[in-house]
Amino acid sequence: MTSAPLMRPSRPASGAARRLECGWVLVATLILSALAISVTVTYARHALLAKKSLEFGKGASPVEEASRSEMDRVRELMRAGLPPGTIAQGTNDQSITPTGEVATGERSVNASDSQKRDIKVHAKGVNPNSDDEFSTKVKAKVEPASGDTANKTTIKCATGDILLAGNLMIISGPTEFQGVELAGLMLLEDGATLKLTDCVLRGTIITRHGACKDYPAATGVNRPEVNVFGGLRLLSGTELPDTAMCAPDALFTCDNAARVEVQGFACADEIVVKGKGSLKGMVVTSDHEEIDSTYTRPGHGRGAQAYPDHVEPGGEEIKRVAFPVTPIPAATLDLMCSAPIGS
Amino acid sequence: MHPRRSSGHTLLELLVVVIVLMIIAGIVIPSSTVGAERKLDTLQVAMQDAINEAQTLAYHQGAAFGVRFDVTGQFIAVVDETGTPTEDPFTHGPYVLRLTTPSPVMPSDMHIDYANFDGRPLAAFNEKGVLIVGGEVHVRAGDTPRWLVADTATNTLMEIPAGP
Repeated sequence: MTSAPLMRPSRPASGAARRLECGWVLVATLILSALAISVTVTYARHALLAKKSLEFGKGASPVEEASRSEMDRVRELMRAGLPPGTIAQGTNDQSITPTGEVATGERSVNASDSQKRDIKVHAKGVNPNSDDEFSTKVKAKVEPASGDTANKTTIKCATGDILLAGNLMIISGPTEFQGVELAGLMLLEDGATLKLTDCVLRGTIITRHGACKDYPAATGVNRPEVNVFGGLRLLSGTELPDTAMCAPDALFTCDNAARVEVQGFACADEIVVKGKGSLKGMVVTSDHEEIDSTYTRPGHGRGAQAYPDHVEPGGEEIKRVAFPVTPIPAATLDLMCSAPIGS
Repeated sequence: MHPRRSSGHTLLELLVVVIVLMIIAGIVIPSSTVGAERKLDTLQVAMQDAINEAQTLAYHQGAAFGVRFDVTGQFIAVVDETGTPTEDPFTHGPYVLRLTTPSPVMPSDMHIDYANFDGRPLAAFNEKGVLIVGGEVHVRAGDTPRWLVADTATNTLMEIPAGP
């Protein structure tokens, strides 16, 4: 008696079954191919769009910057005593991207309370793929709060009276600000002492002698002083472009713990800055200049002049402050750019 | 009985070849243009470093220094009043960046096409560290151009849209 085998003998696959397997392989291959193609195309498109987006961002940043300046205008309106009516919206901000596209900023300003404004910018290009949003949130406590302070004064000058107008704060005697954002011109009277603790000033510190060379410079105890504690951002504003301080008879000091950023020309009788910070502009002193080595000075230079070369008075405002640039002889320049340099 | 073997390519083989080609194209085509921009960024940083160095030297030594953009020799050099290159604070050799010699700070295939600061290819700082006159420099990575202007207020090289 023969025993039956334990396992069933395998049956050779029929031709129909083999054809069925081939079909599944083909379908799987097609699906995988489609996936690979879509991944490749998506990656390539993304890489191209990423570059486009980068270029768009470059072009759109001026839009954001313009909107920031709009924020400054909002602050000015607040300063003038216009309450929530200072909300300004519009699509006025435009710039051209490096690829020639026009980026337009759609600006919206929200007032959450009487002393605070948030500004949001949505930059949009002509190309529907170029779309980005920049947000700028600024909490602004504005000084002075309303328009009840003096906002203009006339300085008698032999070369013509100079009218300081606009956002003008006249500082006489000891005055102190702490944790506020200031804007406009700050006129330091003789003998004034301005103490700034953790402040932002978008504008210019000026003295009477700074506005008019003929006005006698204050000396000794009458010398105006600016003392900085904590942090200070002194950024030149629109009243006197590129000029952070035009006070050739003033003393500017800050202590070891200070963090100071100055943007624009800074002219004073004496400057003593310690701590850390950056001075982005020419520093001009006549008496003494002591700037801690930890300060970065991008775009700085120095001038030994006691007084700016010229302060150009306009009809109702000082238009700009300039300092003389000492020329380099033409022969030296020629030598510098033609001397042989070995390989 | 032997199975039939065809001498041509199968659909699968063709698809694999096409996919590989597309992947390679997807990597190479975008990276060629993005790469040129990165090279130009690197060159711009190197040029800005040279300008900062010249200004620092002028300010601290109370003498004229400048950055020479040599279109003929294709190099950038920080020079003193006599036209002699200053010492590079990192390599301690002459502060000369040759565009024809690629290095970690100088990518390959870079060119200076134009440099003009009031008639001279020189950004010059006077003894007070003030850039006496602004100017324009045109550089190129392969076929990708970049135009830069030096601003006297900030001593910073800024990109401007390249012309036609």
